[in-house]
Amino acid sequence: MSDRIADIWGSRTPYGGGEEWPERVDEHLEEGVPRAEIRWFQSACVLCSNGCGLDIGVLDGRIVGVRGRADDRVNRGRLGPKGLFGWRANNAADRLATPLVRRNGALEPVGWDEALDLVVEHSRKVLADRGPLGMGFYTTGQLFIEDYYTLAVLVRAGIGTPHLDGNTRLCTATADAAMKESFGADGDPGSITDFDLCDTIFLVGHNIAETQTVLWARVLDRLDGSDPPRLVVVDPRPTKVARRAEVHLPIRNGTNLALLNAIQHELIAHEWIDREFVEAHTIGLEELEKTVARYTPERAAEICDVSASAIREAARIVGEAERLVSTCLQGVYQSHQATASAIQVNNIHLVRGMIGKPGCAPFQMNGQPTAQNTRETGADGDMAGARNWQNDAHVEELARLWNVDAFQIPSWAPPTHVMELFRYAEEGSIRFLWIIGTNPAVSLPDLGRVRATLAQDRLFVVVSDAFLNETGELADVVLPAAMWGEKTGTYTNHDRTVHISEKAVEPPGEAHADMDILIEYAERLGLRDRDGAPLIKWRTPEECFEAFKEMTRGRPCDYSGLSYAMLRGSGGIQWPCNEENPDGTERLYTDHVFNTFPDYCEEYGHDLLTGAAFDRKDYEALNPSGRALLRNAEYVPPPEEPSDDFPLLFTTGRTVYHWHTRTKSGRSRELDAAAPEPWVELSVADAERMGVGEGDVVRVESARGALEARARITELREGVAFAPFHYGAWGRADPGDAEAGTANELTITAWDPVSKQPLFKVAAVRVEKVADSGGVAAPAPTTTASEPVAPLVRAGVEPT
Amino acid sequence: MKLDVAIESVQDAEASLAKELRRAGERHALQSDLYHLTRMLADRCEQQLERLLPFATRYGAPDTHDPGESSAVVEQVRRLGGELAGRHEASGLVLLDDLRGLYVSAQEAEISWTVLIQGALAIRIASSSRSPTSAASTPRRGRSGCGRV
Repeated sequence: MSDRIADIWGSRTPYGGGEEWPERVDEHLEEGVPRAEIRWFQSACVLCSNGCGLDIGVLDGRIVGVRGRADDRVNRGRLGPKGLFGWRANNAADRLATPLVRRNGALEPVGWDEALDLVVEHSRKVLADRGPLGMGFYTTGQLFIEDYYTLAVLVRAGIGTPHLDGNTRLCTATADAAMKESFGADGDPGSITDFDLCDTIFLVGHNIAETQTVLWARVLDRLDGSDPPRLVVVDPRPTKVARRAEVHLPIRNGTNLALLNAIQHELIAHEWIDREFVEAHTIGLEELEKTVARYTPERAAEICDVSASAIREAARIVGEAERLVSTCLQGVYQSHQATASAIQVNNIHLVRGMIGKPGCAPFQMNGQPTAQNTRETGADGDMAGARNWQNDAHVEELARLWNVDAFQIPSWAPPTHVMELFRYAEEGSIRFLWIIGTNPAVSLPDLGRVRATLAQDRLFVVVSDAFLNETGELADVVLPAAMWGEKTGTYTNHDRTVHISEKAVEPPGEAHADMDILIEYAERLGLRDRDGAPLIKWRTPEECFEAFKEMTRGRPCDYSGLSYAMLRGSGGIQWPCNEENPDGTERLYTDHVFNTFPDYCEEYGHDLLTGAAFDRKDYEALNPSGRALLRNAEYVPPPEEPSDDFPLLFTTGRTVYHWHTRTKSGRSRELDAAAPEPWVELSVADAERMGVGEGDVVRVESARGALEARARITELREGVAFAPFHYGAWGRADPGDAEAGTANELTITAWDPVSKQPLFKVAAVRVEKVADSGGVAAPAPTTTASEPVAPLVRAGVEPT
Repeated sequence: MKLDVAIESVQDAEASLAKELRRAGERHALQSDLYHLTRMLADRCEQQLERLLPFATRYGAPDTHDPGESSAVVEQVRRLGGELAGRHEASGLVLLDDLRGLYVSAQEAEISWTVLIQGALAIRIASSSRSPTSAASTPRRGRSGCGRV
């Protein structure tokens, strides 16, 4: 196998449209390991939402490598760089192996009894003094169904607080929201095999080459095969995807909605729409037509700062497609008017009648591997089993399943989203905050404010994690958690494919699975059902999965036909899997009946401008009854625009070698070496104007904070600065230090009104040079969107 | 027909709604969604008033209105005050009170529009850039802004 750090997507295995993607098995083992002695355990990668099937190789109770599973429907044996090298984090020397408790300002190791007693004591005190609203929980997109479901039942039915969210709020809340608005419930309609069948791919704000490398390998193989799909890409950065596009629209960040309205304007003007389909299966075309009529390509060109002819050309390719696959990711979700924009991509498929058919699907992508499951279990702002918090019958179903009184489950208002949760902690109404497997001290916007909130004496902070990260440093109690490979469980990727992941090794020291930690906490806190029996009925992951399955019965995300036995040895099975669909379901809505019945739907929709929730009578008045909703919205300018003081637009993003705040990827020597330090990307024109050259140290400053890092000059659009979001204060004394290069010191506290997803991609900044490069290039990869402009390569930038 | 009175009543209601929106946003500057949303909705009130202006002139209502914006210094002071007070638990009660006030003001604006639109329809205004149907959508927008409240 080639050097898979430099060769991110591996060798090509071209195939034609409609053919099966050929197998290619990727493997990486520690050097010198006797291969024949390795024991293999089935799993799937947890370092992006693709969820590639893999086996974990174990020797002497230690993980020694991974290999792709050739028969897996998602990856057909392939793995990306993070999948191949990320497992090294499990073996890191600095894993948390014992609980820690803060004493005299410092964290000290203690036993589990002592740590949990302290957590329970504080929980009891807050519950007695302030009731359930004093308690908050913030989880991740990295755990398994079994961990999340235990958490959801504990928090919703046991504690009874609405203050529970996942960091999926930062990555996929908009995917979820957009599908609920358009189709009535969460769940991507399409199948990953639609990439094999389509003739056109429309990627909006989705740097698929870096965020889902194996899916991009699939597209690359199509592009190199016979009958390749046409590619249209919307992205301000010169991504590898953009470089392969027939039309690339490098729009000004924050203007997706204006562009997508203009594309629909063209679809309608040229009658590239399926009137029969629209008439039979959607509502809202008339209002949509009225709105998009105002978005001529010329008007959008002005807002988005791309040419009107390019918009026309993009619309023509989308309009002439016979089998269209579209995807959205963070360029839409973490941007201004996120939900309204994501919905327009759904609209494009609805007006073209390209949904629920082979090769035709809009993908509202996920970022994290198990983000789908926070949504399904109700461990984020959703109710368990895609239930509707405004529907009393749904809440009563949950109460019956959990054997508690319905009024115990908070449903008088929407579940609290993370930004609001931190706001309540800031103002002092939340006094107990448990953070599980996520690092808000690096990943939330406006970090100065986040740190000040977490550091308050009046707030008791519990962190459970595999490592002591920047957030753990601010905690009162830190609990050591088992990672992937150290516990058994299940999770679901972006095309509803469910995988099982076996326990391959023991967790280090006294670390435990999150599910076990939560069950122990519930026991000690004395959480009971209405008959006085323990609230949490399960003790093993499989027992939990059985309970979860039952909870999903009859709902869109129906797992009732699945079992650990079925998943073992399988190449992934897609929900719904039930009596009617015993082998799973490749595509949703093949009958073009959507989940928009008032009794069944997951929500009644929102006003897209303000986020005001509609209620049942509004929904009934619309009378969708199985028809999809074409929702329209006007473009409005973002809350912060470039000014004289802050003339550039700032955007952040994930890059190929790192994952989140590097908690795992930074502990893999291959991944860390590929991108060890932060950097800032600038356009050629801006760099020239400011006198900045490759490798010069620049200071990027917003109204909220600053970062300093070396500059990489790329073909990025003019007027924009980009920084990766991965780099925190890890290894530095002062967390606010600009030299840490932390992107979220700069970002704004603002969020989408519907999905509540924070805006990481629209802030105003100024950039100034602070030091010469000294002949050193920026530590940015040369293999990706951060590729330097050609002359600088000759000037001596070493390839990654 | 006393259309001037109806127009003036809309002008008063929209202007005072704009002012209250801005002040509420500034008072609760740490409540970030409210801060951004109130500013955006206040701008919309201003736009509504701008669009009403030709009719005000034609029917003898006041042709100017108080934009309701405080000086930059006052705005900044209110915002800083909001940021300081926003770390106190009582800020939640003040917020609730402000939202109640906004709800009533938005209702006031909606009623004024309804009266004006009915008057306008009665005399069948034919000309202008805004048709009666599109004017009729105005109060709905006002209501959705407050649905959140």
